Amino acid sequence: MNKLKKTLALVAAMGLACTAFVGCGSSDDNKKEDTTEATTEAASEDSSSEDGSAEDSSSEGGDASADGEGIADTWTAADSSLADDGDQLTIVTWTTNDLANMFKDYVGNEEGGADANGTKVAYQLVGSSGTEAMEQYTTYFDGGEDVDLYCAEAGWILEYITDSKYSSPLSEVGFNAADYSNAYQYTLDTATVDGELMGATWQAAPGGYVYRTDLADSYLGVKSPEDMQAKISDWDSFWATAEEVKTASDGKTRMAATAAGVWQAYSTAMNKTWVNDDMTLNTDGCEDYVDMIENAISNGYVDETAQWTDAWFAEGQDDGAFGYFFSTWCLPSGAQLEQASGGTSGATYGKWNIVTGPCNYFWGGTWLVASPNCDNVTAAHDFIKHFTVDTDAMQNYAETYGDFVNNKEAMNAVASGDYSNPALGGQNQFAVLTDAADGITLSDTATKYDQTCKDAFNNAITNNWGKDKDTIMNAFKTDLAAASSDITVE
Amino acid sequence: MASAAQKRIKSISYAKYGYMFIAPFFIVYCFFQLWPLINTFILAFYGNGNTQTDFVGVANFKAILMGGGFAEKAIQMRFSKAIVTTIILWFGNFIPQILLSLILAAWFTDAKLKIRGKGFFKVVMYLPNIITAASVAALYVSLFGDTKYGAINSLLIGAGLISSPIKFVTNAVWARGLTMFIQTWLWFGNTMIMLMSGIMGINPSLFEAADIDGASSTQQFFKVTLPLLRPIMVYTLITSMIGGLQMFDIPYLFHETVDVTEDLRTVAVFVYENFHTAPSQANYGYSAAASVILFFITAVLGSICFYMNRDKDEIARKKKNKEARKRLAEIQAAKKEAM
Repeated sequence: MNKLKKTLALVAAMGLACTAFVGCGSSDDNKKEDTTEATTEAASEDSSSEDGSAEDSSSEGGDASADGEGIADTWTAADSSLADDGDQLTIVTWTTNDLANMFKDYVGNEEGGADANGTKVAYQLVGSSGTEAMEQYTTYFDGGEDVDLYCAEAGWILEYITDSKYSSPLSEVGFNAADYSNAYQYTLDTATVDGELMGATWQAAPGGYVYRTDLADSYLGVKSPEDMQAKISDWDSFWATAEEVKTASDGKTRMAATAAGVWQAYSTAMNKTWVNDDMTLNTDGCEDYVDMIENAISNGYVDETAQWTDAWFAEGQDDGAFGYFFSTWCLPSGAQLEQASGGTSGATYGKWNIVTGPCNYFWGGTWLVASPNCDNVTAAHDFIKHFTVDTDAMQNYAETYGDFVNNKEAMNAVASGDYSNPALGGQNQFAVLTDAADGITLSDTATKYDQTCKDAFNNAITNNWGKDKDTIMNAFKTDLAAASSDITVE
Repeated sequence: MASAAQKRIKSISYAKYGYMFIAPFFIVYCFFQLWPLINTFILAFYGNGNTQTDFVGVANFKAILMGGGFAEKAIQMRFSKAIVTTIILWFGNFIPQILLSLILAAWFTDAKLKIRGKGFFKVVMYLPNIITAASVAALYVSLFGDTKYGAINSLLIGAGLISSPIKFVTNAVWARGLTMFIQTWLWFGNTMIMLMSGIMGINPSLFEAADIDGASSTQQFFKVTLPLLRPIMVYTLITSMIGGLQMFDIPYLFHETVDVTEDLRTVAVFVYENFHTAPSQANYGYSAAASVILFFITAVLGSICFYMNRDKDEIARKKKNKEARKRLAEIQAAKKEAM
C-alpha cells in the first residue's frame, strides 16, 4: 500500500513537473519521425530533377550567380549548400494577409497543402508586427525550429539579411539579380547587401496621393487625375494647392490627413543616408523637411490626426481631408481606402482618384528570405520562382487578388487591362502606380538603423506639434540617442 | 520498551512526500522566476546594442543616474523623467483612492447607517477591477480621443462649451490626470473591500463603548477605527506603493498613435521600451539597470514605510521587558556577589 502511495505521489509530482515544461520543448521529436519517410521521397525527387538538368548546370559552372544570365531555370538542389531533406516547406510569417492568398493560389488552400512535387507547404505565424515581430522571429530562429523561408517587412528586413546567422544569399535557392530583370529596381536594392541579393519579393508597394474627386471639382475645378497631378507635381505646388483648398473650404478641408503620410512619401523620396559609415547620425535634409512641415502645420494644411485611427478615417467622410497618402495595399476592397470612404455604402465611396503625387515613393512590402537552416531548397526554389519570377503566374495573382506584383511585364499588362477599382470610381490604380514604381530610386547606404531614425524623427514632429525647428531637432536627437546606443548622435 | 518495528515506524517521515508535491513549483520557479531575476542583475552590467555581450561594469548605472556624454545625458533625462512621472502618477491615484475607499468602507461597515443594497454597491464598485487594463485603456482612449472625433470632445464641441478639441491624450496634464483617474477607478473597490475586512475585524464592543461614552461618529472614526486599522493600512500602502512604482499597463496603453505618450512614460514603460526593440539594437543593459534601480527604490521605500508604521506600543513594551530583564540580571549578579 505504501509503495502504491509513494509511486502515485511520485507520478503526480513528475506529471506536474513535466506539464510545467511543456512549452519549452521544440517540435524536433515528431519531426524526426517524419523525416525518415520524407527523406526517401525527397531523395528520389532530387535524383530525377538532377538527371534532367545535369548538363545545363555543369555548363553554367558553380558560380552561376555572375552577371548576365539568370540561374532560376537551370538551378538544381545540388548547386546549393543548403539541405533538401526536410519534410515540409515552412514559411515563417508575422501576418497571413498575403500568405493566405498566396497559398490559395499556390496549393489551393489558404492553410497550406502539398505543392506540385508533393512537398508539404505550410506557414508558421508568429502573430505580431514591427519590433514585436522581430523579437518573435529571433526567438523562433534561435530556438532551432523548422524554418525554410520567412517573410520580412521593408522596415526591418535589414535586421536579418545583414546577418549570416539568419539569412543565406538568394543564389543558394537558385536566383540571382539577372533573374529579376522584370522586377522593380528598388525591391532589389532593398534586399541587396554587399552586392549579394538576399531576398526577393512578390509585391511592390508604390504609393500615391488619393484625393476626393468631388472636392477637387468644387474647390479647384479639377476634373481629371491628369489635371490634379499637374497641380501637385512637386511639394511646392502641393502646398500651393493646399492653400487653394483651404481658402475654398474656409479652412475646413486640409490637404493631408496626417503628417505621417507626408513623411512617408517625403522620407522615401529623400533617399538619404541616415547613419554614416562611422555610425554617426546624418541629419542632412531633416531640417528642410521640418521647415516644410512646420509651414504646413502653421498654415493648417495638415491635420494632427494620428494615422490609422478612427478619427483619421472619419476625415475621409466629413470633408476634413482632401486626400490621403495611400500605398497600393490600402486600395483593394476592405482596405484603408474603403474604411476612409465609410464602407462600400459610405458617403464618399467611389469619390476618389489616385495620382502619383509630389514624389515617387513606396510604403512597406514584404520580402521572402531563405534561412540558412532551410532544408527544402527545391520546394523553396519553386515557391519563390512561382511568386517572384514567373511572369504569367504573377500576372494571374495580381489580377485575382489585386496585389501589385513585383514584375514590370505583368503589371504593365494589368495596367493596360480593364481592371477597375470601384472604390476609386472605377479608376485603374495600377496605371498610376506602375509609373510611381518605375520612378522609385533607393540609395545603397541603407542600414538596419534607418527605421529607428525615421521613427524617432517622425515622433519628434508629432510630439512637438507646431513647435520651432530647434526644439524638434533637439527632441529628435535626444530621443534617438536614448533609443539607440549604437548611433553616435552628437 | 518499544520494539524494533515500532522504532522504525516512528522514524518514518512523511515530510518527503510533502516536498515532492511542492517540488514542481520550486523547479518551475527557479527556471522562470529566479533565474530571470538573477539574470536581470547580471544583464545590468552588460552593454547595449552592439555591445550587448560585453561586460561594462557599472557604466549603465552611471549613465542612467548621472548622465555623461550626449547619449548618456539623453538616457539619464529620460529615466529621471520616468521616475518623476511614476511618482506623480502614484501619488495622484493613491491619495484619492485611499480617501474614497476609507469613507466608503466606514459607511458600509457602520451599523447605524443602514445603507440599503450594500452588496450591490460593493459588487458594482469592485467591477472595474475585473476588466482587463487593455480594455479599460482602449475604452478611455476612444472616449477621450484627441481630435474633434473623440466622444467627449465632440460632445463638448456640440454643446458649445469648447471651440477646439482638448488634447486629452497628448497633453501632459490631461493625460496624467486621466491615468490617475483610471487607476483610482480601477482600484478603489479593491482597497475598499480590504479596508472593510479590516474594520470588521475590530472588536465591535469598542464601538459600542465609544457610543455609550457619547463619541460622535467622526470621533469614533478617528479615535477608534483609524488607529486599529493601521496594520491593514500599512499593508495597503506597501502593496499600492509596489504596484504604483511598477505601474505599466494603463500608462503604456493610453495613447492613440503607435508610440507611448511621453508624459506617461513610467519606469516600467522605460524598462520595457529599452529591451523591446529590434533584438540586435536592444538596450538590455539600460533596461536591466533601470529595473535594478527600481528594485532598490522599492526596497528602500518599503522599509521606510514599514519602519514608520510599526506598532510603537509593542516596541515600547519590548524595550521595557528587555530593561526589566537586564535589571533582574543585575540584581541577581549583585546577589551572587554578595553571597
